[in-house]
Parts: sequence; C-alpha cells; structure tokens
Amino acid sequence: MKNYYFKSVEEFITFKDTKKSVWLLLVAEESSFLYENLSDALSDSYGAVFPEIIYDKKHYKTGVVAIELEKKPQLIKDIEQPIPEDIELSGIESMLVFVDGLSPHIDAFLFSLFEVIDEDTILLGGGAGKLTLEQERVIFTPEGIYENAALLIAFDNPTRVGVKHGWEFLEGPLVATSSEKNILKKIDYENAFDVYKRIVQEDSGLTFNDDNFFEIAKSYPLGIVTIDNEVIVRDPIFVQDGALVLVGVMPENSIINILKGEKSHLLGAAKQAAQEAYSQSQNAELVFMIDCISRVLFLEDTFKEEIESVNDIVDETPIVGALTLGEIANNSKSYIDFYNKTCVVGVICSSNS
Amino acid sequence: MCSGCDMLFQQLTLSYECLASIGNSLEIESMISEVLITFSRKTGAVSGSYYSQMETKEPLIHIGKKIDFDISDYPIQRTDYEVFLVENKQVVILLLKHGYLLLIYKNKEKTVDKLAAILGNFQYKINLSISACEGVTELETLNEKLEERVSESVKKIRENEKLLISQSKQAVMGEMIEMIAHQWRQPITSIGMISNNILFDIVLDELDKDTLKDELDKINKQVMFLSNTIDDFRDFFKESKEKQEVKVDDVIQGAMSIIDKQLEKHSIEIEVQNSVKDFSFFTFKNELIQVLLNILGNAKDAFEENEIENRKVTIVCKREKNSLLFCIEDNAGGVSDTIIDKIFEPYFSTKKKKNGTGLGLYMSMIIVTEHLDGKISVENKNDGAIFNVSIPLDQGVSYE
Repeated sequence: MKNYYFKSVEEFITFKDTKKSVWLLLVAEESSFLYENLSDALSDSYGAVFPEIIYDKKHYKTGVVAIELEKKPQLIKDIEQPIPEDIELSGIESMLVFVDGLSPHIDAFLFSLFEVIDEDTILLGGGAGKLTLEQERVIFTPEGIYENAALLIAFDNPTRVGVKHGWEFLEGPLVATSSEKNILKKIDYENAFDVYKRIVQEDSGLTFNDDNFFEIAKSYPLGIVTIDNEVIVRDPIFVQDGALVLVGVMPENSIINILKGEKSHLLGAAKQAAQEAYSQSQNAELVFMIDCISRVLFLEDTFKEEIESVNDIVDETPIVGALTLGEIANNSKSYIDFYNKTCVVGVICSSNS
Repeated sequence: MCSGCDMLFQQLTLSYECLASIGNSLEIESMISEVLITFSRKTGAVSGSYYSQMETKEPLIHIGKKIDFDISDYPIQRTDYEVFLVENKQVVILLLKHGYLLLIYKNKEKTVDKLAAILGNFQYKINLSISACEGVTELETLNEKLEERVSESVKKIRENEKLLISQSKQAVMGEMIEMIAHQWRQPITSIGMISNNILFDIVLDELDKDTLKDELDKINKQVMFLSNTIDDFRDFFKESKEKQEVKVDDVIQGAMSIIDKQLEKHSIEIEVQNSVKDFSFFTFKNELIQVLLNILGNAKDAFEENEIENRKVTIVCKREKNSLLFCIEDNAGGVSDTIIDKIFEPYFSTKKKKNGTGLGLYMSMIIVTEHLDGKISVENKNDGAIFNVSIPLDQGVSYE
C-alpha cells in the first residue's frame, strides 16, 4: 500500500498527474487548503482535514499524507440520515472510517453502521476537523466538501486493532444525571461544570477563567466506566450555560470518573495499543496511527516519543495517520466505540496473510 | 480498590445504569429501545430484541445486528432468565410477563451468566413499565374512540341543526300563508273592483276601448304583483346550497316583500337606513332573510304582547371594517334583564298568546354563527331592543 507525504496539496496534485490512481488524502489543518480552488485537480482524491497528520515517525501541522487505494471510498453525505441503501458494506474485511468529529450525530451514525456491516468487519478511524473546534466542511470527495459527513474506505486486507489511552482515575464515581447527546448538563444533580471545576481546580491548583478552559481541561478528561472495567474517555472542550460540551456522546445516567494523565502512562498506553495490534498481525503492510490531538496538546514535545514507541513495536512497517477529534475502533465483538484522548493503532496486513 | 470491590463496583455500575434506563417513556417502542440500547451497550451485546409474545417469530423492537432466533427451539425451564450457547454466540433470554428480551453476545470468552443474573433482577420493573406503556396505549385508543364519538356526535348535531332550519322554515309556513293572504288581499280586491267597473260599463254600454285598455293594464299590474309575491315566497323556501353574490338592498327588500303587509296590518312603521344599498357581498341570501324575518316577527309579537302604540322598527345597514352590520331596533319595551342571556337558547319562548316554538331566535343564532360565520347579539336601548347581526365579508366583495 503505497503512501507519500507532500508539503502541500498542490505538490500532491503535481505528483498525482503522473500517476493514475485513487487516493486517500489526510490533510493537515494549517496547510493552505482551499477545496474550491483545487476541486478540479482533485479527481479520484478523497480525504479529510485533521488538526495534524502523522507520517514516518513525525507529526505535521501542514502537508498531506497520500495513500494509494485499490477501491474508491464511499461518502455518507449526511450522517444524521439513515445510511443510504446503495452504500456497499458487505464482504468488507476492514474499513477506515473518517467522520466529521464535531458532529453531534456520530454516536447514532456508528450505531447504524454497526447494524449494517458484516459481523467480522474490523473498523478504525477518527474524527476530522480543526483545532478551532468549530464545525466546518472537512470531508471531501472529487464531487465536493462536506460537514456532518463520513468517508468509508474499505480494504480487502485483514487489520488488527489496538486501543489504549493511559488516563488514570482522579475522582469518582460520579453520575451523569442529565445529558443530551454530547452535552453533559448535570453531574450528581449539580451543574456539570461546577462539579468538574471544583475537582479539577483542587487537583491542579489552577483556576478556570473565561479563556483557559481547554488549556486546563485537556489534562482532565472524563471517563465512562464500562462493564469490562474499561474506561471510554470523553474530552470536555468548552462550557455552555454551566454544561460541559464533549467530543462524543454521554449517555444519561452513565457512571463517570474524572481522569488525569501522567505523561509516562500515556506513552506506555500507545506502546500497548501498538503491541496489541501488531502481536496479532502477519505480514504487516501499513500502520494507521489514529491519535487524539488533545494527547499532543497534553504531551507537548514528548508526543514524538509516542510515535517512536509505536514505531519501535511495528518494526519497519511504515506509519501513517492523523491526530483527530475523537477516535473510532471496534474489535468486531461488540459495538463500534467512539473514543476521545485515545491512541488507536491499526495494523493493515497483506491481503494474502 | 481490591479486586472484589472492583467487581462489586462494576456490578453496581451496570445495575444502576440499566435500572435507570427502564421506564423512561410511556411509549413502548421508545421505552424498550432505550432499555435494549443501554443493556447491550453496557454489557457488550451485539444484538438486542424484544418479543411481545413467546410465540411471535419477529421481534417487536430490535437493535444491533439482525440475528435469526426461534425460542421454540430452546427448552425454557426457569422463570426469570436463561442462557444458551448458540453456535458461536451466547444468548441471554430475560423472560417477561408475556414475551421476552433477547441479548446476543458474540464474545465467547465473556462470562454472561453473571450479566444475565443482574438483568434478571430487572424483570419485575420491566414488566411494570411495559404494563404502564400498554395502559397508556389503551387509554390513547379509548381517547381516539372518544374523539371519534365526539366527532360523530358533532356531525349528528350539525345534521340536526340543518333539519331544524328546514323544520323552522316549515313552521313559519303557516305564518307565511297568513302573510301571503295579506299580500294578496289588496290586489285581489283591486282586481275585483276593476272587473266590476268593466262589468258596469258593459251593462251601461259605456265601455270604450281606451277605458277597457286602461282597466286591463291595471289588472295586469296587480296580476304581476301577485306573481312576484309568489316568486318571493317560493324563493324563500329554496335551499341555498352555495353562497351567492347579493346586494344588501336585495336582502332587505327580500325580507320586506314578505313581511311588510304583516307589519302594516299591525300598524308598525318601518324605517330602513341603508347606507350600503348597492354593496355586494357573498352570503346565503335566504338564510339571512330568514334571520331578519325572525327578528321582525318577534318585534311584531312584542308590540302586540306589550300593547305598544306608535310602533316603529328601524333597520340600519352599514359597513364596519370587514363586516356588514344589520341593526334592527324596535320600541316594543325591550327584553327583560332576567331572560336577555337566554333568548338565543333553544325552546326558549316568552310568547304567551301565540305559543311560540322557542326555535326562532335559536335558529337565527345557528344560522348567523354556524352558517354565515357571523355574530348575533341583543341589547336594550331606550324603550326597546336592538338586535345586531354582524356578517363577515369574505372574498368576492365589491362595490357597484
């Protein structure tokens, strides 16, 4: 599976003209990418815009990762609507799913997607979008660029997935006593932000003001407790009328914890995710690393160690990926989960393995 | 936390979250969907279904992967829950009062017995919530039936009102015949006198051609008047099926042509102040005339009852914003305050001598409010009553 890094979309277009193929493009947010100006030159090119992209042990704020595909990706123009019947979802070995990361309909969409894909299809992917955290048109095809959309990229290759986050318990259990989609209104019957603020300020010694919410909150995500003693992380991104707005849905009455991170534990988790995926793989062709952008914001300069720790595990297998707004994975044994602040490693193997 | 505490916490968490998902809606699909979604997502099931009866093959509500399942293939021995291994999947059946919930787990390594036991604890609450939903559905069905019955009753009332209008027209037929008799008396007398004159002239051999022609012209005029009178009465009894464009003056003259001789006989002076004579509007002409006749007839009876001298009725027609106003004012003594609120009620009558039906003003109210979409009211003023009939102007209004 051939893959390339280009400093700009224009550079990719020049290259593409020499090579007839179908392309998946992971475009970094700070690339000066104006779809309308380039749409004519983007035939056979499908992709999404992410805060940052990953290529060969490095993460980039500008540029494009281009991956040569055998099949054309399929677009779901509006994920709020039922999945159209003409979308071909059977007989797929594994699938990359990129979705508008700031859509409030992701959870329902993944639920619908789970119902229609084959039982054994392995999924991984993430939320596209920009660090402005404002919903924009970020999913594109040769026909247009869309918001509230999803791109499905099917592979005939078997894929193994590892998911880990490394965030640890700070305070809990608490109950999400009132919530609606991705808005957590009440924790233990109090305004969610009041409870969150009290706990986080006490631990961090910092004080929330009008401008620093995300700066502090990036280190204190929420965790939804699951029966398998796993924790699904939810990232609070801003406060709205005393409620916490999250990336991803928070079911009402969920038991939640407030989490905090240690850099070493986060780096260790990425390594574990890579081990989990790679240890089950044979003839690895390509590694997709889908990592939450807020891990970069938390780990700062040490984030490069996270990519290196994955690289150490996957040997010489090339790594591509994106730093996303929410991560997607399923192990084909239960529902497709939408994570935050998590590292998802997918090892795509040779189709003969 | 010790591993035992950890497990206990997990179980409590699962119990709390599942329990909190039960009974949050009184609509069965929404209530059960929330239960199935929560149960399956929290426990890692790939499919959740609700079968409303043990015998049904198709689930009433389903979420997740579509997986065929027939409960009759499996021996059900317990009364709360069962766990079966079906091919490579584990199946948890939570038995309910009538049907069952089905959860399917693909992960063979997962121990679902404990999950099933936890879910089994919710049997009573789920049964209760389903009963509540069914109760509400039953209540809604009853409400719908009640609405249907109300609607049927309203329809019947409308039909009865229509019948009443027709009957009330027939009821006034007797009065009409009396009115016709009054209308015809004078022309018939005139015709008699003219023909006698002609006869005398013939006997006296004084009949010349010109005189005969003049006399015959007079007879013709009277015959024409008689013919017109018949037309007026016949028109009045015709049913108006659609609104027609009429001039205000046509309505007033239509009523007057029927009742003026009656009023004259009872020495009632009538004054019409019509500032909108040529104004055209769409209405059920005969129904509106019937209303005016009912009011004028009532005035006539009130004059008689109260033995009023210097009897006068004034009809004022004018336009007010988007409506036409017909004010019929008399000096017959007015309506007693104790009954003024009741006079539009059916079978309400104060007429001592004439044994009134009590339907005249009720029918007038029905015609004005239900058929003409207008308003009718009464008030006392000076030494009499004023009936105000307001008819809204709709499309097709024009001045000529």
